[in-house]
Amino acid sequence: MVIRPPLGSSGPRLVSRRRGVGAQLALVAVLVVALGACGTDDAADDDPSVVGSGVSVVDPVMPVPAGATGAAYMTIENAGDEPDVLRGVRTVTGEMAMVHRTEIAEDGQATMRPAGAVQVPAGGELVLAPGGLHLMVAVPDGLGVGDVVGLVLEFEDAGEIGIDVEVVGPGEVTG
Amino acid sequence: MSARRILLLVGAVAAFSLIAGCTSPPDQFDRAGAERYGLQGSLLGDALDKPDVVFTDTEGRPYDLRAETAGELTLVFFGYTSCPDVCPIHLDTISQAFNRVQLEGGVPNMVFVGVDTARDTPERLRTYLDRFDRRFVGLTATPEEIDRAMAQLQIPSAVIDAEGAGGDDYLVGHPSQVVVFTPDDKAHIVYPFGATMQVWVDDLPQLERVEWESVT
Repeated sequence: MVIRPPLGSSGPRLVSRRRGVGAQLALVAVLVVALGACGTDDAADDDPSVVGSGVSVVDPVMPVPAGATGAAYMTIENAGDEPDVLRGVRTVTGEMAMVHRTEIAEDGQATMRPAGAVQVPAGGELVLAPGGLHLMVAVPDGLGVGDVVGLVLEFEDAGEIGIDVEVVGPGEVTG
Repeated sequence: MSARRILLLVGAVAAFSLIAGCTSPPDQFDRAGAERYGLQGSLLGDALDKPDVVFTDTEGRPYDLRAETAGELTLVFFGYTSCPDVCPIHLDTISQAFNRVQLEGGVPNMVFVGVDTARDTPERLRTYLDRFDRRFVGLTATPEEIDRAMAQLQIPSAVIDAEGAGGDDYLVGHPSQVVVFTPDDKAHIVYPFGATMQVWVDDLPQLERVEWESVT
């Protein structure tokens, strides 16, 4: 089922939903495979209400930024038969936003680079999580828990998908 | 979004990053060695002294790291306030862990050195750290002194990447591990990015009392 977020949802083709813990734990196994092997034939979801191309965004969140930029994390699912490619991201207000990847070298050095085009495998998913892929977004001062940041993800096949990223407490992503 | 799921994601991504990044374990980090002490961090090859740099704290006062933290369990991390991904995760995780353990020596020192000296002013460091934990110490220094401190700790220097998205939005490379100085005032162990709150909760009490074997 596609569940629209209760507040602040607007814009074209907003597709996101929330999942129960059991499905989330199962998704972890899928994501490990997806990260390592770039694809699995198992459909992550055969929800018939997923729009058109089969690409949807699950649980977009941003820990409340402490500085000038925030990191948005989410899971991008592709229930279709063809891979898609995340080409970029923009904010609805024109602030800077980029798809970034944190890389941690053997000696511990962490760098962030633009991720370039990133594939979302057919029947699989692309996970944006701390220490890896994330959306780096310039944020205004005073952004607080409960606020919403509007972003537009740009896919090669699925086109533009608008998402409402919920600003959450920092503890929500660190456990 | 459930905390457990994110926790598993962090672990999976961290593990993947480490595995993808190397074909053999880095020589600097000896994880198996830490296990014999009941610890989950990465043992350093050499026990290191605290840098002898005199920093500036968030009140603008000189801060002699060795003098201020002598005999105390002290965590040191080199990051920057505009860091969206790695730094906030470490800081929040450590703050939560501090609130969950009772240590004989009280709350450990958490020292954050802002390597992005152009933007990480004392005021900005204080505002940034207060979002996580008011007990955290924020330090700055000249780029040369910060480099010197990092060299003494045998960790890679910060890399200021002027490309980024232009203007103020440049990116900074920095070490992602937290360096831990036990009450003997030496660093024997570091904790890489991906160390969870539970890892800190497990290890902090042991770090306070561990007796390190001499390296022969």
